[in-house]
Amino acid sequence: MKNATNRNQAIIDSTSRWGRIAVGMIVAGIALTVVRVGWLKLDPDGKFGARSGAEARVRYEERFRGEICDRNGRTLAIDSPCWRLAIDPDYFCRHGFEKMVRGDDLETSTDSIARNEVLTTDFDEQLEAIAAPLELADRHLRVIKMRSLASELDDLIGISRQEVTRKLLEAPESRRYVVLDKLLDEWQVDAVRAWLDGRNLGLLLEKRTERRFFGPESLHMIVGKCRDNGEGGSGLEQLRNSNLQSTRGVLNTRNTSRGAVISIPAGTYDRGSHGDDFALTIDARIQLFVENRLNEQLEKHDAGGGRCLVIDPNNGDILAMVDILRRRDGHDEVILDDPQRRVEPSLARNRNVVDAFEPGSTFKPIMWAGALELGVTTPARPVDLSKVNVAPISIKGRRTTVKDAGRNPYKKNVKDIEYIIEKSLNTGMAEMVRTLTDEEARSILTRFGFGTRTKCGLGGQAEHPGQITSLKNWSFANTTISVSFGHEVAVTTLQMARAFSAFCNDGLMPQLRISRPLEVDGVDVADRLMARALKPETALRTKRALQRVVLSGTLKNHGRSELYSMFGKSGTADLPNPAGGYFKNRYTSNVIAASPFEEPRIVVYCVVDDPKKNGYYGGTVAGPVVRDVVDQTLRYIGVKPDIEGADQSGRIAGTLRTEGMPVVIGGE
Amino acid sequence: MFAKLMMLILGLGLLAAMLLVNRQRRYEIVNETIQLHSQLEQLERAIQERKVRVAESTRSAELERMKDALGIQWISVGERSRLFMMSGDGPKGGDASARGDE
Repeated sequence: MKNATNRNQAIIDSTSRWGRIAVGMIVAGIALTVVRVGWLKLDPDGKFGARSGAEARVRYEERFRGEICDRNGRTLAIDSPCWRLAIDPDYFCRHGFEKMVRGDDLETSTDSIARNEVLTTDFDEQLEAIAAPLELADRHLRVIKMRSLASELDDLIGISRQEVTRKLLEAPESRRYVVLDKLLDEWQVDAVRAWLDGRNLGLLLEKRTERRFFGPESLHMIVGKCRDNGEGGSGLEQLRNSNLQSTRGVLNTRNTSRGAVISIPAGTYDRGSHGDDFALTIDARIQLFVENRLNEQLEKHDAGGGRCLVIDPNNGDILAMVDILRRRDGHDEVILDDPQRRVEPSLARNRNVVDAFEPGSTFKPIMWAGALELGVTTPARPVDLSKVNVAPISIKGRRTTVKDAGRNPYKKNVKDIEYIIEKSLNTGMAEMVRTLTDEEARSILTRFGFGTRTKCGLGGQAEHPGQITSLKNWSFANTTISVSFGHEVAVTTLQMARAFSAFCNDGLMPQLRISRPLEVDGVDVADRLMARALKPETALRTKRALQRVVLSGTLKNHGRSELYSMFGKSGTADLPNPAGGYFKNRYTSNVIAASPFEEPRIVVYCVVDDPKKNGYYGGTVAGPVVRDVVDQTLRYIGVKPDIEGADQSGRIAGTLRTEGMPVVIGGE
Repeated sequence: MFAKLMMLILGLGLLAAMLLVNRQRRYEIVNETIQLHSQLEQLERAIQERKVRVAESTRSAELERMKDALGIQWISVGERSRLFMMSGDGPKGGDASARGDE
């Protein structure tokens, strides 16, 4: 009995032990499963994603290209968010068309006949019976469907049905999407969305950005243009592309098959970055005024073109830069054409940067000051005024005599060398440079920066360095003498304005710049980039001589401001003949001036190409532009008129209308 | 034994429920984050649109047109602190063409 009891107890013990082991294993299994499930929930494993229907998605986020603004923050070029409407033609023809017409009122629809035709008949079969090649029937059907869509979109958002039809029919069949409109307004997007009402017709609304330009037209060639891919294609858009360009953002997500986001993988989000904004030294208002004024003058003189540059001589800021070309019907144009400009203003060749020309008498102050600096008028290098303005001078080895301009030019009353500048005497300039060696004469040009690029930030390697004769080919008779009155030398408007700044800055020339600021540790370093061309006393003496040009010389009648004191020089150069030599009666008229006299704030240089009527002298043709630009610009930047008796409010005489409230604007 | 087993199953069930809650909250947070992110993106786009509109309506040519339409004239504020006197006197002298120098 006892044995039986022990045996039973042993069986129970054994069962209990195995039971405990089984329960323990089950519990451990459940615990492990729970832990693994928890683990997967907290940190999902990618390899199971596909099985569970989850999928990785990448969303690209738009970032905007940097803005280009003028010196006062006015926007010139900016990325404009917009929508692009595209279609998948194959999808539309196979499925979308049917969805489109199903809910419409066919009787009132604009293309109801075509639709009825398509819907109410077994069209394919009919066409197949009529037209043997099935392909032709398909194409016909496709055309009808496309026309129907074009008509619908025209009614809905006003995009031309002809244009849409043309795009759809001309698109190569290999292309999946055809863009119907690149730039939809918000109301158009809303209208399309409401019309689609969730239906998938194969139409696609895509977020895009479009580069838009808001400055004066003449600024377009400086700012340039962007390509369709968003990269700069011309002008500053291209030159500063690396700064302006944005980097799109990337957001990686893991989504359910229905699109709900499950997780954002850690460390994968890239915010991207907007492009850097970029401020020009140009002032859009000054630019607009210069553009309008120059256009007026070109019309008045029926000129072939014109350039005008306004700079701040104190820091080299380019305030306005205008280049206009006019094609005249029935006129033998000799100014180099720019066909791309007619296609797209932003593709224009900026002649201020890339074209050099002979300046004529506006160059005289350069050589005059340079000669003074080299010691001309000292006892060792005297100037014999008794030979000046007496008669044409013959120079040994020179092909032509040196003559003074005008109908009866020889007044013989030269009292000082300033008179040479005041009356723009070629004979006087020949006497000024008489004692210079070839090296010295050439060094004057290099000292003022001619023959080297201004590196103002425009044009890059395309900027014209100007043209000066090499020392090897230099001769006194044909080079020094010619250069003294602005022949045998080719300059750009930029170089001329920079050189003229030396007379404004006690002999220092600034580094020209198109973008602001040139700063180191928050301080404008324009001062440190000045290059000395003259001693202060030489610069002052030249400045005074140039003031006489305005007060009693060639700028007295047409180039003199009634508000601001000025100093400057006019020039009238013969126009080069492409066949060789020069035209006898076609000219390049130009004037360069700075104002106010005591503390010059601007240098204005205006060049008018080939004026045809109402005079051709620089003072007559370009003088009024320079005068008005000086008046308007100085008034605008808030410089007080310094001529006695001038309206101290800075208003331009005759242009103020007193009715209405005055509008106050900020200057610089 | 049965009671212990029930306790264990209940405990595990509780743990599973907590994990589910946790997962749900994570989904909600992720979706909220994505929504906020999309809103920020839209706001950034809207700001850019406003900037374009401001640029369009304040371009120099447009301001000139408005000025002419209103019959008013720009008057410079002068060099910062030195404001010019704005008198109501009429214009002095003649206009450019009347000066006889063009």
